[in-house]
Amino acid sequence: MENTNENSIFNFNNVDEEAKSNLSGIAQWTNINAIVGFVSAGLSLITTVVGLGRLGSFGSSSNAVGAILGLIITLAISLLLNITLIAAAQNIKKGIEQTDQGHFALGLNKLATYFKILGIITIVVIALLLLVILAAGLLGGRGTY
Amino acid sequence: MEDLQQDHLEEMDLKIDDQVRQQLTEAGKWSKFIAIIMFVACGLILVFGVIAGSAMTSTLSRLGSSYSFFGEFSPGILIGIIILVVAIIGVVYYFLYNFGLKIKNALLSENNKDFNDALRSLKVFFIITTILAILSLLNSLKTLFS
Repeated sequence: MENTNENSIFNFNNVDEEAKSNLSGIAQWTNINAIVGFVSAGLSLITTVVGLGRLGSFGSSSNAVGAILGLIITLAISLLLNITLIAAAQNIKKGIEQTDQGHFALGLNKLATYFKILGIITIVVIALLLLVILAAGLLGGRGTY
Repeated sequence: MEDLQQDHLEEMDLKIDDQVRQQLTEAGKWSKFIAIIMFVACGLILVFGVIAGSAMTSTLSRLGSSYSFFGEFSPGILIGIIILVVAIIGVVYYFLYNFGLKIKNALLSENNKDFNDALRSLKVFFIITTILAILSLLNSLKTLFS
């Protein structure tokens, strides 16, 4: 009987109480995760500005440009990820609380988008690493002759 | 009559419709990809970390007292730290991999148990990453104000 319930197509089509509880937990923790991400982004902004202030006193402009560029890229990625995550959390939460299929689907769509962005960032990082390794290999090879 | 009421309640409940299935399939696919990349990265960190760590520690300890801060770390401690970090990353991404694997199985076989296991794994993944993010934030705050 239990086996029938677990595998039934009719039961599976509806989100059961256990799934709702797990989804509520996911929404709650993704929300906290996104908030911590926003605070971390703000903190890295402050740290970089403080660091740039110190750099400015030494008059090194090339380091400053690098730091600003790094900060902009980091902040953009961080904001994109955390905005997507917070949208996922809020929509899943609303979907469960109000039994709203639209919000529920949108929340899962945002969660899928979050993982897609993370996956694309992973691919970009791997590509950059391979380029660095390739460049180092080429330069190293040239240096031996 | 009771059946009619039950049907009506089920109609009002949240459904795993085609759109939801598509989103969960996509989330599962990407999460599995990310987890596999992280497992490979863990393997590389372990291999190169252990080799480089032991080489670096022995070199620094040979350089003498000016590098005593690094020299105090025995290769065993350094390798231990590397293994600990890799183990933590491995456990975190195991849960993400489990989500990707089980959600795919659940949607293919329409199995509620796998579906709930997948969601539980995703919840644990977010719990651990959030705790690690909070610890990292606290460490950054400590560094900023010290």
